[in-house]
Amino acid sequence: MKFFAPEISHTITVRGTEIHPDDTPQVYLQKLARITLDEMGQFVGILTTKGILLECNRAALESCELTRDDVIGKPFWETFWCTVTPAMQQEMRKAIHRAAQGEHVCYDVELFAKKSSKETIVMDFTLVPVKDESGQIIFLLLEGRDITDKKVQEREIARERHELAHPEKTKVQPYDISDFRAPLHSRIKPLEEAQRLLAAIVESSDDAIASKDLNGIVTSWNRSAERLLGYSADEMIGQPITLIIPPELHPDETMILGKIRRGEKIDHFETVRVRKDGERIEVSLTISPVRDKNETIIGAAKIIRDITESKKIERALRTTEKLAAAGRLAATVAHEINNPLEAVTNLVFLAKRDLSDRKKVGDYLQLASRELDRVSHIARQTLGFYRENSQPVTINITQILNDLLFLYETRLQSRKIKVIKQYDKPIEITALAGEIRQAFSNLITNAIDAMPAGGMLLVRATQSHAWSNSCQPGVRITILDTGSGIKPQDKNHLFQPFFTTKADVGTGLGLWITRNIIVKHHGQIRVKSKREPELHGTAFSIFLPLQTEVLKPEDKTDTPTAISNGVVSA
Amino acid sequence: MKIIVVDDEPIIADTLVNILNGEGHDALAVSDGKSAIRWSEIIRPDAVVTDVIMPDMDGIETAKRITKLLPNCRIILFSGQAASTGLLAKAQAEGCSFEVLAKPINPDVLLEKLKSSSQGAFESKAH
Repeated sequence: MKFFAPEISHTITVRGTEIHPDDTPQVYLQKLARITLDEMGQFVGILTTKGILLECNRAALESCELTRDDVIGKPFWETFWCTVTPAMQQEMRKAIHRAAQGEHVCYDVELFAKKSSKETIVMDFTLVPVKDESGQIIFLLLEGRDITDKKVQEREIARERHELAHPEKTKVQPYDISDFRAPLHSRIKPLEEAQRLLAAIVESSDDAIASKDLNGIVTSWNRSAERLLGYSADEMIGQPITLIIPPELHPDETMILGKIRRGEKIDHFETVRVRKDGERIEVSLTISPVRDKNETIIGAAKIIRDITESKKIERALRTTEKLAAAGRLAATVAHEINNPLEAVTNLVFLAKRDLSDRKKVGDYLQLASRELDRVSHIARQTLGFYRENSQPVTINITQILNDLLFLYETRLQSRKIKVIKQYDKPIEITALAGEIRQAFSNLITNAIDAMPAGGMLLVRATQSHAWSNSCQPGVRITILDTGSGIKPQDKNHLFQPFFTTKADVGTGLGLWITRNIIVKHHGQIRVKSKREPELHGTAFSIFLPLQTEVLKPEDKTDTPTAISNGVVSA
Repeated sequence: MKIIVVDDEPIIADTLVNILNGEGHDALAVSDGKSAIRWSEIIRPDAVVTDVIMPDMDGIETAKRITKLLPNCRIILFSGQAASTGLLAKAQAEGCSFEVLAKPINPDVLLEKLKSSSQGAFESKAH
């Protein structure tokens, strides 16, 4: 027999096993086997076919606070380990019997792990029949691996899955991610468990979640998707996703699949989908590419959120703000119209009085006519404000800004606000005229309101390009005031509906509407504000593309919105 | 009757002065509150007709100062804007109340007002 022995000149002792320099190879190998056995972390033992424990390793004894005398020579099921319950003892006995018949027995068993505390552990237990050369079973080899942690995790996962799958049957417990931290970091197959858990979460999510391949064929369809769209998973899986897309929006799917193939994510794409019963619902889609383990894009996962209700509310809010804006406008218009009317009334009075003096009458009428022009200009311009026009037209940005500054001229003057205009040259864009005017009007009136004690209003319009895409040409409009600035705590709420610092007069919808209008035009809006004693004020910058795709009102907003640190990209 | 007409829009002040002078009054047009006070000190008018919303000093402040200067001077305010109600409420809270006419005023009505105010039927009060 070939063997290697370390060169030892003196006796060495490993856990009670002594190796002498003059040990015969047989003795040396036996001792080596003993050491191997005792150094193993697993539970190892050997039984007779009747189940009597002949030998076991130190791992089996030491951690359990047992000695050889406690267990050797006893039927295994009667040893301390197996005495958790009589039923378990019975089970062990049967297992030993089956192994003695030649079966390779494998099962999980709960055993006592500590004599003092009667703590139990779960073992993945194996009983292997050991045969002699004639093939007769003479021993049973016992191996046990501690799988307590894994069992705890499994139970936990099973409980979670049960609760996720049957929320109605279990009381709601807060989901604590720390419960799952252990399995994710433990030695045993965490990925598989995590996948099972994720599948359970997806299945029971309140959001409709579906996936499709790169040809738009549905590959998964969760329960909420069934509820939201009326099609069962059986009906949808294997079918084209276009089943739920209104026919006129089918080109969108090509666009979506194109983006997915390029690895792009689609965030909060607001659109319309059709239920099985034909009803149309407004949804927000978030679609992400799905990659296989080689990072190849193989499909898309999408979350479909029903926003029909929130859209209804949004529309109601928009109407509310339109009414309020109309009211505020009416007050301004009243002043601007009443003054020329006052002049005209006086001039007509004078013309009647001086009827015989043709020269004087002529002068009065000429003045009256100029005043009437002023009235018509204001009327034309303000009526244009609320004309619902869903078709983009060519508008001159500087013209709109000038009209608004003209409209608010007296208000600016009475507050001693100096207006500085910086225009590149007439800039024309294609947009919804009334809405753009409303957006600018909101920013200008906000700026005026921010400077009750006077200041400077800078209105700048320059040719520019999109902040996020330097290839996209457009116009950048900046409206800057030298007011007190925006409080840091208000910055993140600026564009939220009902947020106002002007409790008396504001609806809190102005900036929200403004942002909606800009987003609808695929534009961007940013705000910067300073509150230092020497340098204070607020600047709103808007980017509008030269050409805006024809957008149906309240149809879609494709642009992600991020609000951070007072800088808002819409 | 000596009258000062105050309006930041010259065409309104000028036409009113023209109308008033045509009816035999001795009217003067000014375009802001400070000028109105300065001229009031000089010509001591019987009445002041003033716009409410004006740059710098508004019509109500102007009226208050002139009333202090000339307690018997009639004050007629006229305004084309809802914002003036806020200013009036503020003046009232400070103890001054004035009657306000809405723009556009029919000149005949204004002339009637002045006639009746000169007889004491129209009062500007300073409490």
